[in-house]
Amino acid sequence: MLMVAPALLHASLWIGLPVLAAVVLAFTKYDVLTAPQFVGLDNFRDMLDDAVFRKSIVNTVVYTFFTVPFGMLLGLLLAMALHTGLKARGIFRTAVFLPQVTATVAIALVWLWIYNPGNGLFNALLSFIGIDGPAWLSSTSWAMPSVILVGIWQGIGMKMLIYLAALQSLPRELYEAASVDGASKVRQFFSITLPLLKPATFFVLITSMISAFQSFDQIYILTDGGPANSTTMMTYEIYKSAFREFRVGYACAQSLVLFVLLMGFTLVNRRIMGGTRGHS
Amino acid sequence: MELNRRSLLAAIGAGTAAALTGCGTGTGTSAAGSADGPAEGEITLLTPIYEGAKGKKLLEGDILGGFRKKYPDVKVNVDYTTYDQLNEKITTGLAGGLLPDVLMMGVGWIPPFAAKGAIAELPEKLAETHDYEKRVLEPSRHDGKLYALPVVLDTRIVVYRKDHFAEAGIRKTPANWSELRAVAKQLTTKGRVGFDPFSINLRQCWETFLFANGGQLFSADGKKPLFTDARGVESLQFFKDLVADGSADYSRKTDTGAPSNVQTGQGSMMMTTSALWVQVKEQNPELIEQDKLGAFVLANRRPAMLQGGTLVSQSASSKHPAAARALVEWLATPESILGAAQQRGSVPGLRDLSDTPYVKENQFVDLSLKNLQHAVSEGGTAAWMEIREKIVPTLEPAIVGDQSAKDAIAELGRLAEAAIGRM
Amino acid sequence: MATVDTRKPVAPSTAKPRERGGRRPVSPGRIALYITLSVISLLMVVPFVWMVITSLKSPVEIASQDAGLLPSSWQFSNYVDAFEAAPFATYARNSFIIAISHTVLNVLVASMAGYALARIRFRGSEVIFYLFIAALMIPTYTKVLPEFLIVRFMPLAGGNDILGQGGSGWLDTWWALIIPGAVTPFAVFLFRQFYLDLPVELEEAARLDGLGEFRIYARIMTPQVKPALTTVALLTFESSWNNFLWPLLVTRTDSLRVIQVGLSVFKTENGTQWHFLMAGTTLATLPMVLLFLIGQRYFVQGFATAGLK
Repeated sequence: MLMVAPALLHASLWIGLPVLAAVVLAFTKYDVLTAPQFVGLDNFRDMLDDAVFRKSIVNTVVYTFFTVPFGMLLGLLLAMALHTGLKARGIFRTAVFLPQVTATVAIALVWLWIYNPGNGLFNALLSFIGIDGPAWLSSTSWAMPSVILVGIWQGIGMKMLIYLAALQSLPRELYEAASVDGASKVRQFFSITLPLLKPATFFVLITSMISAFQSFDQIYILTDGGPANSTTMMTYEIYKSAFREFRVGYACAQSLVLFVLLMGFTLVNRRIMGGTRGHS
Repeated sequence: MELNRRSLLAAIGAGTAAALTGCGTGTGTSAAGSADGPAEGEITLLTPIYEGAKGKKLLEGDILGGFRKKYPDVKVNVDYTTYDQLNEKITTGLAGGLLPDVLMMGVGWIPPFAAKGAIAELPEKLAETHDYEKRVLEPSRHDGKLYALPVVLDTRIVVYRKDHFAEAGIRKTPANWSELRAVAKQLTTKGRVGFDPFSINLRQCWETFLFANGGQLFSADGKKPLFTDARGVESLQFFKDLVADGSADYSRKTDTGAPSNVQTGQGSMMMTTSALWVQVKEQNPELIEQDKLGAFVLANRRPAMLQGGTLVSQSASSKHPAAARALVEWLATPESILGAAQQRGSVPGLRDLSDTPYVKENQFVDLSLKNLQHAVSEGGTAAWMEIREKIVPTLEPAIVGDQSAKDAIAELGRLAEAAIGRM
Repeated sequence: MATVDTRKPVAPSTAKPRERGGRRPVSPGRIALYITLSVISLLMVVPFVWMVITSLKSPVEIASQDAGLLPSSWQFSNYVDAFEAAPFATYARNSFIIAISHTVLNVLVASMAGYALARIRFRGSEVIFYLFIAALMIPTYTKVLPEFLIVRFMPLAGGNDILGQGGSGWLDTWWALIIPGAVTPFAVFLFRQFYLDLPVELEEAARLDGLGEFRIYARIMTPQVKPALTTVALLTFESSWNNFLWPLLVTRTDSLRVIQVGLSVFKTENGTQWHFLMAGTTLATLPMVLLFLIGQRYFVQGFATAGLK
C-alpha cells in the first residue's frame, strides 16, 4: 500500500484536484475575468444546441474507430516481425518509432507539405501512376481520411514498442514445449502468444483509445477542424471553448462528456476482453 | 490505507480551497491606481512579437535601451510567448491574478478585456501624441475610450500578378465586385485560378468583403449583429459565385507559410496580408526584381482594408501603473514601431513613417500606409472572443457544401446573438 | 498477502542466447519479410527524409515548383543560422534537465505503484487502478488551468503565505517545470500490466527466503520487467523533451524556457522559415533517435536475463 502512495498523492494533487475543479466549473459560467457563477445545467443545455460539438463527437468516434484497430494490428505485426533475430532490426525499429519521437507540431507541418495538392509528395507520387490526386486537406471527403492516416502513422511506434517489450517478457519455455509437441507457428501464436499478450493488449487498447479521443495537435496544424467541421474533434472544441472563447465553464462541461464517453468505452472493452488480469 | 485515504481527502480539500480562492483573486482586479506618480518599480511585459534572438536584441537592446535611459528606476522583465499560445498565457494569468503589467495582444481583444476591467483606460491625449489615422485607433477603443496603442499592423489586401494582367490585356485593377468577377473569369486560363480568396483565414476574408460591401459587423454599442443584412449575405454569396464561375477554387488554397498561388503563378489574384512581401522576398525574389507583383485595396461600395495587428495595453491591476503607462507609450513611439514592423514585415501604422526606407522598399506596406483611411477592423463587441471562433465553422459549409449563403449568415447571426446574450 | 492468479506452468530457467538470423541460409520467407519491413520503414521515414532534405535547401528552392528532390546546393549554413536564432544551448540544457528528472521520477514512482497494484492484494486496489485509468481521460486543456492555479497558489513558495497568497508560488521555478508532470498514470498503468504477467513462483520463492515486500519488488520482480522500464523511460523522456505548452505557461524568464519554445521562433503569424524550422527540428530530434537506438538494446538483454539470478 505504501508503494502506491507517492504516485497516488501525486495524481491526487495534479490530476484529482484539477478534475474536481473541472467538475465544479462545469456547472458554472466562468470567463476567467469574473468569478465563476453557478448556472446549473445551462452549459449542458447549450451543448445540445451546439451542432459543431455534436459533429466533433461523431468525428472523434470515427477517428478512433479507424486509427486504433489498424494501428494496433500493425503495431503487433511489426513487433512480432522485429522480435525475431532479424539482422538490422534495430534500424527497422527505429524507423517505425521515429514518428513518435518528433514533436507533433513540426512533423504535422511536414505532412502539410506532403498533402499539398499542387506540388505535394502525395499527389506527385499519384501522378506517377496516372492518378490526379485530390486536395487532401481541403476536401470534406478526404480531410478525415488524411488526418486518420497521420494518426495511424504517428501511433504505430508506441504500440510496436509496447508489444515488443511484452514479447520480450514471454517465457521461451512455453514455445519450446509447444515446438516439441509439434504445434505450428500459427497455432503457437493463437494459443500462446495472443493469450499471454492480453495485459499488454488491454493496455495498448485503452491508452490508444484515450489518446485518439484526445488528438489535438494534428487537427490544430493540419485542418483547424475544417473544412466545414469535417475534422473537428472533441479536444479541439474543448480547447477552443476554454482558451479562445474564454468559456471555461462550458469547456469543463464538454470535458465531462468526453470523460463519460471514454469511461463507457473503457468499461465495454473490459467486458469484451474479460478482465485485465492476463489469461486468468 | 486509512492514513492514505485521509491524506488524500486532505489534499483535495486544501487544493480546492486554493483553486477557488485563486479564481476569486483573479477576478478582483480593481481599478488601477493613478498613473500620475513617478515611473518606478519592476514590471513585466508579455509579448507575442519580437521573436527569437533578433527580436530579443531589438526589444531589450534597442527599444528598451532608450527606455532605461529615460526611466532608470523601471526594470522591465519580458515574458516572450507565441501568438498561438498568447490566449493560454493570458487566461492563466488572469485566473491566477497575475496579469503582466503591460500586455501586447491582437486587434479585437480590447473590447472584451476593457468591458471586464482587465485592462486600464489610457488618457485621450495619447491618441494625439502621434499622427494617427483616426481609423487606426478604432480597435484600441471601447465605449469611445482609449485602452491601447497600436504597435504593428497587418492589412488584408489583394495582390496580383502584373504579368498575368498584361498578358490578358487588363490595364487597371478592378474597382468593384462586378469588375473583379469579370477580371477573375478572364484570368482563369492555363490552369490558373483567376482569384484566390481562400488562402487567408476565411473569417478575415469575409469581413473584408463585408466592409467593402458597405456592411458592418455590430451596432455601435456592440449589442446587435448587423452583418445579417443583405450586405453580409452578398459578401458570402460572392465567394460562391466565384466558385461557380470556376475562377476561385477552395481546394487550391495554400497554407500559411507555403508558397502562395500568386508566387507559383497558379493564381493571378489573391487575398493576402501585407506580410506576404517578406515571404516573396525570401522565396521568390525574382518576382520583386522583375516587378511582377502589384497590390490594391478591395472595393465595392467602398474600399476596405481589414486591419489586424498587435496592440499594447496596460493591465488594470498593475502595481506600478506609472511605470506600465510609460512603457506602453514607449513601445508605441515611431522609432519603436518601425523596428518592430521591420522585423516581421508589418505595417508601422503612422503616417510619419511613410518616407522611411523600409516603407518605400516594401510595396505592400507602402500601399497599406497610403490607404489607412480605408482601414476597417473586426471586433466591436464584448462577446467578440466567442463570436470570432464561430465564423469559420459556420460560413465554411456554405462554400464547400450545399448550404446557401443566406442560411449560413442567419445561423451565424443566431450564434452571435446567443453569445452576446451570455455576456 | 496473496498474489494475483497469474499462472505460468513452466518455472523460469536460464534462457539460451538468441540465435542470430544471419547464421542460417536465407529462406524466401525471410527475404519477403525483409522487403515488407523495408517498405514499411521507408513509408515511416519519408516525412523525416523530407524534413532533412528541406533543412538543407535554400528558401527559394523550397518554394520552387520545379526543383529536384535533392538540394541543388547543400545549405549546411541553415543549421548554423538556425542555431543562432534563439539561445538553443540553454533551451536544450533545460529540456534535458526536465526530461531526465521526469524519467527518473516516473520510472521509480510509477513502477512501485504499478507493482503494488499488480501483485499486492489490498482493499481498494481495483478502485485505485481505475482511478489511474480515469486520470488518463482528462484532456490536457481541461487540466491545464487548475494545474496552473495550484502551482501559482502553492503554499509557502515563491513568497506565498500558508494560504498560498501574496507571491507567485512555484511560477518561474524548476519545481513548476518538473513536479507536476513527474509521474504519469500512463506509466503506472503500463507497469501494472507488465508485473501482472510475472510467474507467481518467483515471488513465492523470495517470500520463503524471508524477503520483505519492497525487496521482492526491487530485487526480484523489477529486474524481470526491464523492457517495461526501458519503454517507460523512453516514452517519458520523449514526451517531456517535446513538451511545449506547460513550460511556456509556468515560466516567464527566458533562461527557463525549453527547446520546443525555441523552435516556435521559426513559425510566426507572419510566415514560416521552413529551412530553419526543419534544421532546428532535425537537431532536436537527433538526441531522441540516439536515445532510442541505445535504449532498445536493453530489450534483448531483458530477454536474455529473464530468469532468476
